[in-house]
Amino acid sequence: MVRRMSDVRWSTEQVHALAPDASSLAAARKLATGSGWSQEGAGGEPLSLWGLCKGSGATPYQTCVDVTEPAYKCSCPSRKFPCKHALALLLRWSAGTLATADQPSYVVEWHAGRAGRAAKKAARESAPRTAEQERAAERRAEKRADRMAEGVAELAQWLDDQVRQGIAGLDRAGYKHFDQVAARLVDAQAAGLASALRRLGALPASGAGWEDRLLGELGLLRLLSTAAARIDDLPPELADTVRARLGHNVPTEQVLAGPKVRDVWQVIGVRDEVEERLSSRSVWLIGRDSGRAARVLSFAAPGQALPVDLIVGTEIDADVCYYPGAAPMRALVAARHGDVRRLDRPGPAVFVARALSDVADALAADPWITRHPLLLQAAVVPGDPWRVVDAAGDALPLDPAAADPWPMLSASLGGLGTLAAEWTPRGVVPLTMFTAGEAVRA
Amino acid sequence: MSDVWAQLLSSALVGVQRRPCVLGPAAAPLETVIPAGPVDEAGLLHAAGTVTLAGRAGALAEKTAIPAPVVLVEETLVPPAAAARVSALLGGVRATGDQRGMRRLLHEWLELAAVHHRRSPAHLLPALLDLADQDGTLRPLVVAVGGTRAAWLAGLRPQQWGWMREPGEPAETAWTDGDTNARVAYLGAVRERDSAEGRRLLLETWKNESAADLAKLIGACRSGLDPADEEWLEKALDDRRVQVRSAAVPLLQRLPGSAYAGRMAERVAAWFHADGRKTIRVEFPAEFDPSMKRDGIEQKSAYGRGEKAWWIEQVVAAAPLSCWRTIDEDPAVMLKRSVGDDLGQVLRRGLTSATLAQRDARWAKELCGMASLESYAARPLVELLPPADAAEVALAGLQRRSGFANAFLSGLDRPWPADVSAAVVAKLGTAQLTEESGWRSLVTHAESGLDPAYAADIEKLADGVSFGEVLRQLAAFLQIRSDIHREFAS
Repeated sequence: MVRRMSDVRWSTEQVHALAPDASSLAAARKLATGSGWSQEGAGGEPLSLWGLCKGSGATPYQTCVDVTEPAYKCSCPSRKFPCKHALALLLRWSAGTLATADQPSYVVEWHAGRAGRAAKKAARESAPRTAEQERAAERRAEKRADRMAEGVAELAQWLDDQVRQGIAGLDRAGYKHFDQVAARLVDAQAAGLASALRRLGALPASGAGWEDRLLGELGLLRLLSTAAARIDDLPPELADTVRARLGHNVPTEQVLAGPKVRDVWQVIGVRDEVEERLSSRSVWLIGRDSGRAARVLSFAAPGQALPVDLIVGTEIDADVCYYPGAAPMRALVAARHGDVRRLDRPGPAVFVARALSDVADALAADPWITRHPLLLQAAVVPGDPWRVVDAAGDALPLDPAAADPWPMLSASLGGLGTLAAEWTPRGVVPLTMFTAGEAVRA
Repeated sequence: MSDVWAQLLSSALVGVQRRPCVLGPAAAPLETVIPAGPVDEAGLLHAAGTVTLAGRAGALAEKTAIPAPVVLVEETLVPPAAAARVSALLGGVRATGDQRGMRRLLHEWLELAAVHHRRSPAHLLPALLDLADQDGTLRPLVVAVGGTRAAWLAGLRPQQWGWMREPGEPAETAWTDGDTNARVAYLGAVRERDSAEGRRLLLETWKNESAADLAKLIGACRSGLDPADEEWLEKALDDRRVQVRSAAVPLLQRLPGSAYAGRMAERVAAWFHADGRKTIRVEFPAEFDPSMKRDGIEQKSAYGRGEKAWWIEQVVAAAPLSCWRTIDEDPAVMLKRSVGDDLGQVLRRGLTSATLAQRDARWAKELCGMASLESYAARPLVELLPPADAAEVALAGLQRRSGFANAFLSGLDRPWPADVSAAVVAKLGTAQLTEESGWRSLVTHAESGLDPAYAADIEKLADGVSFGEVLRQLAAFLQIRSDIHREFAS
């Protein structure tokens, strides 16, 4: 996979987004403006930054960053990743402090070492399997399918039990009631079902009308378990969708080997979430020519930073590969064909009515969708609830759980702009408003 | 469809085992997927999922008014680099543990933007309004850099941001029908505009007011105080209600040349006498007389001070400073005198209060030079001084290594003048001082007091002292301030 950052320097905001936590960033800011740096430079192939940073000991720390991935190396003992020295180096680069130079030997050696390890890994992965390995892989797959089927059956039974006994008291049962089943589903390697069930656990405490919401979600989950039990009878695309919902991961290589969709991909919005201490980032793309949407999903464990290679308010000519499914949305960026460019106004933006019909089409293909990207020509209007309203007077309420988009209102003065948002069953979550030449995040 | 949902929900709530689910006919188009008749648990859930899905896919937009954008006067924005800076500072204030430093930088940024008459980027205004909601000192600055757009936003969210709006004069009904607070606000506003009219309003209703209300209304007359107020204030001193009397005293103390001031001066003249050229003799008042009570002097101190010493301190604090000329023309000379009966400290405390209340720069300067200064007064006294005198006091404090040096510095205008800055830099770099108490606090004062141009000098000092890292951080802080200033110049 080729992932090239353009040779343009990053913005400070991009560097900030890499910081694993706030204290690392604060420390890096101080380091970046201090005088502890020597023998710094930027340049070479792949584009890298390096420098020596004075620490508490006699020997300065040796720090280098490969900005194309990005990847980091530092001789400091910090377990933060990237450490404050790497962040400070990036900040100095983004501020234009680093002069272009030839890479010193320790940077060249670092690249050589990484390339060697990558080559070995690739060789291991692409080596033809022996018959023995093939059989072992088949056995593993069968075993996994069996366990998943058991998990699905158990879930179906549990769901039926809920409505047999009645759901009226579940607002007093607490999360544990749901988490116990979720834990068994994790054991059954059905991580997707497990996390769906955990989300369900939050519903009884979600205020008035929780019974309707809970019954609706129980019903959709029951439909999923029924579909999973008959997965071999389903059309292949729907079967892929069901597998993905259960938690079956398609390997990256397989996705990248699939068909490529080339377009000028506009980065219209990003949404970060945390579930079970795992951070996830959804970056929404819209193809300028095709109008197709894509969601690039990434994860980071606690203390790790989420990737920042796709920046809201930019666009890039690239190939995108979709994960298989009946309503393909999750995708990977494969080859990039040019530099990242600034994006003033993404398109094509639509009216509310058209957006709702797109959502309906997506639901028809994949009934379990709980988010769908919207690119609207609309205004944000304060109220209870806030609404997005288009030039035809069609309005959608915002998700009450989303923060009120005051920054967007302030920038747009209540006028129409190009609004990137997520549709969810509880309302619209605004992500980015493109107005007056600016991309304003919620 | 809603009928079907109601049937599904009612069985699901109590449980199918107690209330079996029998569905009636579903409305089109669901009648083909949800057949009428009895369903089991799985059938109930399948139907519930289907109805939910149909609801999502079939949802229609609400119809509402087409939004009309607000049109505001165009205002000049801060330069792009300054816009990026405030965005980063706001992020820092929100995210980092180093809140204080970030907040002070943000404060300085706002001051610069206000001085340059530039507006903050629109999308950051809500965050600035939220910060100023928590921190009142930011409000005037946010009003200045927020412009008409922030005022418009505040109108949409009056509970949080209502302080943004111009406080117009309250309506007249506030005076006739309002509660006490509304009436106090109304009277204060009238006094600002026309003190005679305010006086007329108060005297008109005087007889009907309760003691507590009257005390608050008298307090509201602090604005627009003029000599014509003396008459009714003197009358208030004869009121038999203690709240009313105590409310009138602080106003009388603010009226120069009043009979009240004259009575206090007479007391000073009767109690204090020059005794030779080096001593002041104090003649104690024999007893607490009714005239002292009338003038609001407390007989007993709430802080456990000696009774007569407390009378003396209150009289000195309330008497015009000019009355001391009968002892010595020059305050410096008078302050050198020893005072009989160990009352020196009592006299200085009274004089300090009088100096602060009468904002007298000449006395302030002499008091600052005294080793036995009241610590609370160091900063406000320096703030009364013209810049050159303030700098002189601060320099002397640094040279004497006075415990008040940092407090004096905090009272100076910023950035500090060159000679003060040079002395501070020298003190910061003196190795044997870094362990001394006050050095760390000097570093903190220097963060905002030093001209940012000193960053390089501080950096050089860092290698020579034991807490070099502290100085390196100070240099980094000054460098950021220097960048912030430069970004506004571009």
